[in-house]
Amino acid sequence: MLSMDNVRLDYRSSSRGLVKAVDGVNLSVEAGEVVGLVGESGCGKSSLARVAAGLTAPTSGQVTFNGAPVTALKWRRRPAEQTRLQMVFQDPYGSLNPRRTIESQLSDGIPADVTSRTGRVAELLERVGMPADAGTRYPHQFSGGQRQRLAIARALAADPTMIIADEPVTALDASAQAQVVSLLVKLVRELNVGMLFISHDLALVHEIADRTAVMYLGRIVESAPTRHLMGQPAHPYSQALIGAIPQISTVQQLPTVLLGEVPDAANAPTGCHFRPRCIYATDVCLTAPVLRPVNGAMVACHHAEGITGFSDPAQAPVTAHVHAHKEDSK
Amino acid sequence: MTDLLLDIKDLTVALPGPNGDVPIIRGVDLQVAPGEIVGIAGESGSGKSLTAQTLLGLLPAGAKVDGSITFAGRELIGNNDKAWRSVRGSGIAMVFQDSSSALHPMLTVGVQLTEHMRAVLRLDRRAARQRAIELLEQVRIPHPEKALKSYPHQFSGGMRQRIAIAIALACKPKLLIADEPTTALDVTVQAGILALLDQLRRDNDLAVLFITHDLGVLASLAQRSYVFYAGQVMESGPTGVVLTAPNHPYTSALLNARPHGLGHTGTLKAIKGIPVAAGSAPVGCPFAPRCDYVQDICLVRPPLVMTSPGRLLACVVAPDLTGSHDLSVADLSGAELSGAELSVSPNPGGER
Repeated sequence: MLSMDNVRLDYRSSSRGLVKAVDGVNLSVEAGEVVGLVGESGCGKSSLARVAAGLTAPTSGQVTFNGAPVTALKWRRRPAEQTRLQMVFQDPYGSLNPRRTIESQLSDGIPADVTSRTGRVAELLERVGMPADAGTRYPHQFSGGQRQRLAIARALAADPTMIIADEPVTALDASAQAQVVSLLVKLVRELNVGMLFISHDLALVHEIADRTAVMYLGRIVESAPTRHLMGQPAHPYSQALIGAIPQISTVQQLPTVLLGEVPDAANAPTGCHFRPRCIYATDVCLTAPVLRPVNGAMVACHHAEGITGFSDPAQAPVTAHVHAHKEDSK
Repeated sequence: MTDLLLDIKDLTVALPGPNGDVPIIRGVDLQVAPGEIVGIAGESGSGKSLTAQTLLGLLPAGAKVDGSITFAGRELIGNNDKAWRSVRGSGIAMVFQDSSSALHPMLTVGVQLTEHMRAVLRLDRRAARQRAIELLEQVRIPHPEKALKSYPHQFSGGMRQRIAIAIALACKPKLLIADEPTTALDVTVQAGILALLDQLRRDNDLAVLFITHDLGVLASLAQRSYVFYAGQVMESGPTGVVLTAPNHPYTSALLNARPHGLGHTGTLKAIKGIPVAAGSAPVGCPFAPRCDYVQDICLVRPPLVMTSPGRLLACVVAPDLTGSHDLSVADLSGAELSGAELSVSPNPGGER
């Protein structure tokens, strides 16, 4: 279905120099599968989403969709088969045109050979749980959660087989979040589309993704079936991310704190990017680890075998207390 | 509870609207003891941020306030501008959600940190600078001397929030109001801020009123919590008990709407209906239209009654909610994973 093969994306900026936003990522999404991609802000998640959707051309590497390369075509028309790869953006306020009715925006995406366009619009609105008269209204007449559902309806208009959702619920309230996420998952199951679900919220991804990839500074550090990843994270960074999720329990417990901050992507540490923040780091970590299978997961860590897993999240091994010393890289 | 730091009694706040005053906060009682972290949970529009604004005297013009707020033995309602000034900063300080707009982008951190220390504590330039360095060390900003000369944009979001906390602490407040201070941050950064707040509470005997919609954050930090809905307290009590064994259907619904994190897979349950718009709350229990347990009796506003020591509940039905939300951490050991789930392709990316 959707497959990314050694994708790299570099940005050049006058103040920061070369920024490797995406640094050799392999990732695939099959039909009917939800793949979660998690990581902190600045780790390259959104850059990867844009490359995957063909909005930005990768510096090197290739993205293929149903076997055909996805190309960044800018304003030119895309081949019909590529329109079946659709994207839902983070901000439903920015992704809908404020000056056009919902119906007119939804019709845009409906393939030319569909005869009953109004019928199709009504069908799309129903599918995302919006009233039929929503078509005649404008985006400002809806709440954030409703707008995001309309944005999903628009993505569905083209009859997609693959949806890339880049932080689709981050801008929404908790209750609206639950609605939109349930809708997305329902669509994936009912229409058998694949979905790349990008989020910084590991708890949310855990709820819906079949497989989860963890990204750190442009690289995927671990990829595994979601339950496996959450139960037995192998990479120290995955362990730290999971340990940082606040838990509800009768005994009060602060989430575990990870040492330091995410380094500037323009000045990434050599070798393993996570090395300066990792309590297990040794000299071998000066060379970059490759993704390799460890206990049923794909892990990019030299020490993965020795440190794999905690089945009780309360015993996450990264117990270092907060000590925010930035890498003295400047 | 003796010697309360903050005692809010029957607080009502109404904001002027096109058709007369709109009551936003409707009879809130809330207490904070010295050195205690108290949480307020609720969806947007539940009046939690307006409560914070009321405590700082930052209400918009025309707002009508009723009830009583006693802070360290002094009544705050009816304060004039000058009296408020003696409370803000040195009595009650606040940290906002968005640190990038809370800090002035064109002034150095040093200027913003020392400005009100010099005005309020009457420190001279050198003493203020010395205290600024101590504060930055306390919130764990590396190289404090250098940080004083830097501008807010030179720091990451988590660092900026730490600086905002340092500024709030500058005049030694007894109560810190934190309004969604970690909502815009990554979980790892959030964990650092929560640990910092807890540390500050212990070291400085600082009380914190923590406002958030994230129940997980409350559970890990706040000793006691209040659940707000439509400007009223629905339920309150020790956080661990309220969130693991809620008495109010609304608390239960909130818990079911969140991703449960570890050990729980299931569909997120959205709360039916939409939150009541400010000022249009129905007579009786405001949650009644969305509640699964609603009865005729809910048409009368339920009083907040004590159900057990330290626990208050505003629900006359008080259904048995045991088992309606499962928060137990399931066994996540590998044995539970089926073989199919474990078969990861050797190269998840390159495979066609």
